[in-house]
Amino acid sequence: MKRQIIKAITVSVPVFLWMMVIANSVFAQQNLAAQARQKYDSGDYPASALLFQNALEKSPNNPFLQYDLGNALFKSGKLGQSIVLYQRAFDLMPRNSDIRYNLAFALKRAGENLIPSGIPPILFYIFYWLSLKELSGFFWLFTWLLLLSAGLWIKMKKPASLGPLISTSLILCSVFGIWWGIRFVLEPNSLGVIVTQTAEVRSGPGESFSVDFTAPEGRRVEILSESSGWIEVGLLKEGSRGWVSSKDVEKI
Amino acid sequence: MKKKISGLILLALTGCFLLAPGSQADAQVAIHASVDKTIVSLNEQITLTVSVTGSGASIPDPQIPLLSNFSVYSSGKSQSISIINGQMETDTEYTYVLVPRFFGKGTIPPIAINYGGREYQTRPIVIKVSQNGPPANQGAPQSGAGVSVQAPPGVSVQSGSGYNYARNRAPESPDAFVKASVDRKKVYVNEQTTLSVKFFTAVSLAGSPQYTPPKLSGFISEDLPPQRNGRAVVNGKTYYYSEIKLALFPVEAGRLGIGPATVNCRIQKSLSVDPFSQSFLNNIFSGQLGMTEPETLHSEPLILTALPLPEAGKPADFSGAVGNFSISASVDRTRVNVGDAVNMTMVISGQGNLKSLEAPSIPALPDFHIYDTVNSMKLNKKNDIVQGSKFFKTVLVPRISGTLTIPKIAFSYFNPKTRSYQTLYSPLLTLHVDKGAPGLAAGNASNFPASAPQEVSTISEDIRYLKPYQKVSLFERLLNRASSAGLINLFPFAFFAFFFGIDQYEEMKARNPLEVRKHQAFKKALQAVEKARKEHLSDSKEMTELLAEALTGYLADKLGQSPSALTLKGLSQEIQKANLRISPNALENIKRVWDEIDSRRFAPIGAATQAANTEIAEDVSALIESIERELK
Repeated sequence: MKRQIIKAITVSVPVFLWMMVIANSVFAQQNLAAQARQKYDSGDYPASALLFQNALEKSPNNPFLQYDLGNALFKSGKLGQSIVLYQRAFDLMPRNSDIRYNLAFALKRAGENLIPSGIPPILFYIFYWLSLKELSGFFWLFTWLLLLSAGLWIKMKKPASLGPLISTSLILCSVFGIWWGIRFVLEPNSLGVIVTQTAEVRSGPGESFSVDFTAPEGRRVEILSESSGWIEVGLLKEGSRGWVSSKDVEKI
Repeated sequence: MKKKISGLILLALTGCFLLAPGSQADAQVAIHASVDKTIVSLNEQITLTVSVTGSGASIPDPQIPLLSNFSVYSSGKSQSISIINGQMETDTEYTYVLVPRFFGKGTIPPIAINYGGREYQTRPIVIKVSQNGPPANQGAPQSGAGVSVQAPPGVSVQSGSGYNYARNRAPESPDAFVKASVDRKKVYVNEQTTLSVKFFTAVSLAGSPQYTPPKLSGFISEDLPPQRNGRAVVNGKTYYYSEIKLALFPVEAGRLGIGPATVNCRIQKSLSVDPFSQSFLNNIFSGQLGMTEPETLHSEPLILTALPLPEAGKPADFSGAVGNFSISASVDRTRVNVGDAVNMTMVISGQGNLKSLEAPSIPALPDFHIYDTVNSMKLNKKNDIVQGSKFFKTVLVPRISGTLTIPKIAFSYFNPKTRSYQTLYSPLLTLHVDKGAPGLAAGNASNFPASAPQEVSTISEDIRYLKPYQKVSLFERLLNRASSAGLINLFPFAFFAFFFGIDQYEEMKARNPLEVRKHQAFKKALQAVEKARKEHLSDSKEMTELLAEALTGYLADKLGQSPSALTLKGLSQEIQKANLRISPNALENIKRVWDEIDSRRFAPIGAATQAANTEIAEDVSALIESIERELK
């Protein structure tokens, strides 16, 4: 009996401590977010951005905190940085209308449209209803389901009762797989945003190369390659490419 | 001296004629009125000439009726007297400049004169004023073609006497001339330069001189009244002059021309007056003493350089204002309700071309409905500098409640004195807007076409507000984990592959059992030998049985036969039948081991030792391995 009690304590104390750490972390995030909101409401946007940044460091993949930080940066006049945050939030949760709206709003300020011209918005919303990670997650989820049920079906000498499960899994796995594949092919491999007021785009990686054109703050670029402090970028809207200093671009 | 004598004689003769026999009743008087044109545009000038001819003395001036539809400017009169056969006749011309103030048809009513108890009248004249006539000239009496100028003071316009000053036509000092000049020949675009046109005369004039202003190309002009008169000595000669000034504002850069100003006048003929000369009376009676000569005088044309405004430092909101200005702004009230109209007045004051001044652009005020800006002007031309204030009045109607601010409004101009652009800002204006009673907003703004209340109108656009703190859901985290599970995702493939492989193997077994037997024969035989060696080493009989089963089983599996049906004698034939590539040596070994096993199987119990058992087991094992090697 005594041994069982000791065993129970040995197991439960670490679990309890781990839960305490998690709870403390969540509480700290909530506290920081609350302070940031107060600063935001009082118009002290730079201070609000700093607090949201601290909260985000504890939960870097939280799209809502990214959205909030994007708001604070936007209000602080940092258009490029805000687009970086909105885009990250959008990549994680594209179906959230607030995130989508603010990203589109900020992109418009930078002279770009979220929805490419000629594409009906409803199609865009459907196509971007799930994030790339979610699509990939669904694909693997149904792949697991399909393969495990198929394995069991074989093992159990192919009973008819598992047929619907296998066929449904197969269909969903195919749908999400194709959807994921198309998105993967269509979307740039690596996206960045111009975060300085005007970035000089040169013909090569260095100051000695001529400036071909300038890119305004907030413009999204595809990162093509990197070379010692210089990044080769392609402008999505104009279809032009060139090299910018790495300090001009922040990767998504 | 000569002029004074001429004047005295003129007066004496006039007096003699006034005392001459004949009564007013007998006198014949005729009055006639004419205009230079009957179809004009608004603000265009009409020259009305009223001619009164009579043989009587003291004919009064005609009575000009009230012309409410015209602005009337008197332009003087000229008179000539002729004596024919002792009968004196006077012809007096009264000139008026009329500027219409109406559109359509208007009438100059009869102009009357009362003389000798009778009234004499002109016929009415119909004037048609069209809207599409030629553009009106600036300034009433001065700028229109054929406008008369007031004769210089001290220069008498002869009204009866035929005597005049003697004219001096020496080329170096003419009797009359016109001179035009500008105060500065190099100015910036839209900067003021002042044109002065002076009409100098040293002799008497008959009638009013007609002034035609110079042709101006590339300027906006502004008259600078009043007409100035004075006396000046030019080249030692005393002249009386009349001066007209114009403020000119170049509208384009480059060399701009100012054409000649023209004055048409009648100058009295120069006659030598010698009362003791025999020709004196002849001249009087032939009327030559009162004769005049028309003269057209031109000023020299001028060239002025208009400098372009510098591009460097030009503010984005610059709209061409040049001069020196100040700006102010105010609202007529600071506490209103939503929908109430507020008058915002911006005033730009200073020196410069105020007429061309454009309203400063009001920044976007999404909280207000903005109506068109109306402007008015108060000009003053003190010291011949165009200056004053321009008022821009804009009606603003607040659309929302709260404390609303009208931001600073920028106004930029070029200061030619400092040669730099300057930007002025109006003060920040604050309004306190209350919501007011429901439905009152539209009513208060009834004078203004407020937007329909049932429609939603966008006032401004902004990003959406912060989101309440929330954690990422478990399902989303699961999906994210699934997407980044890496090699773990291989597990279902392995799982499936395992069962699939088993299934396939089972199927294969079911399809070809002999092949399976052949395939498994070696492993199965070795396992049987190993089992015999381990478990029955001391039991010779059992061990021999197991070794016999292992060997015959192995061979039967390879040959596809039943182990019980296989005999040593028929072994060779069966091997040949099955086409097994077993060497004769191996076949001999098989026979040898087979015999050995058979001999042990049927030998008495307990005859064999453990060492012998081990040996026979190793023999069987080696034999099977050697056959397996050969069959591969």
